[in-house]
Amino acid sequence: MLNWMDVNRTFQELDLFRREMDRLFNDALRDEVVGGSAFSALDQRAGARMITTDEAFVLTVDVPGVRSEDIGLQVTRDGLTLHAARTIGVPEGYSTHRHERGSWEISRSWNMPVAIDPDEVVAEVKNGVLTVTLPKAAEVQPRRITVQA
Amino acid sequence: MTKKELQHTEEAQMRPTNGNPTRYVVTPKVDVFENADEYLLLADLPGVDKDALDLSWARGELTIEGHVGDRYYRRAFTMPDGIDAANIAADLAAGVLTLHLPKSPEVKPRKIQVHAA
Repeated sequence: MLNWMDVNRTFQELDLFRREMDRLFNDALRDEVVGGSAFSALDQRAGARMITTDEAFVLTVDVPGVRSEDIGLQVTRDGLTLHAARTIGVPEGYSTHRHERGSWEISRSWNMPVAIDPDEVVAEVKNGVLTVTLPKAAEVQPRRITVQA
Repeated sequence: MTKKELQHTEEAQMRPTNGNPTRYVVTPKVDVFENADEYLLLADLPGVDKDALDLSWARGELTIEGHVGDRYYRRAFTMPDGIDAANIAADLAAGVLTLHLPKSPEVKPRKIQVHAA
């Protein structure tokens, strides 16, 4: 039987585990940065995330200021590769007080745990957020089974 | 102006807000530029819709607030004197806020004519 101490310790360990996963996730994202100090949006906790439903995976990535023609997506049955870039300079005739919004370039691949249907993938950019919906292949989608009387 | 930025906004980066553990405060990345006519401020606010963006100006303090899902963007700046507040213009496109803060005529550099004697 668990006493209170054990329960607390379990929660602490879970919390440590969660933080470690966050760190690994962020490090992995940072490793993908090509040039420049920051793909700042991805450094942030909510910069890229994947939601899984019964029917699909939904990936969202922050891409503020990126033109849609500067986003490249390649999809296979096993996953996707994303390439995105933006170039930000100092506007002509202005002096700089603060320059945090860097130019960046990202190339990243995600492998899906189950097959997806590449022909049905939909991608859109809205308000500087890229949303990619990757439907699971028909054969791996959950199937309702009728119980015979 | 950069040093005058309110301190608490720096500390607010990516921590759960009090009493609402599912909401995260994000300090947006900004660029601030200046020329003879204006200050130009750009901020990355990915996901924020125009209706979810709140800009305010009070006694020389500019506050940018916006939200999307569980993310709450906030940043405040104390601006130098001489901003023509009535003519501040804002535009939000592709998740990037562009703010033009024109200088009042009295603080703009003036060309002084030298008359020949």
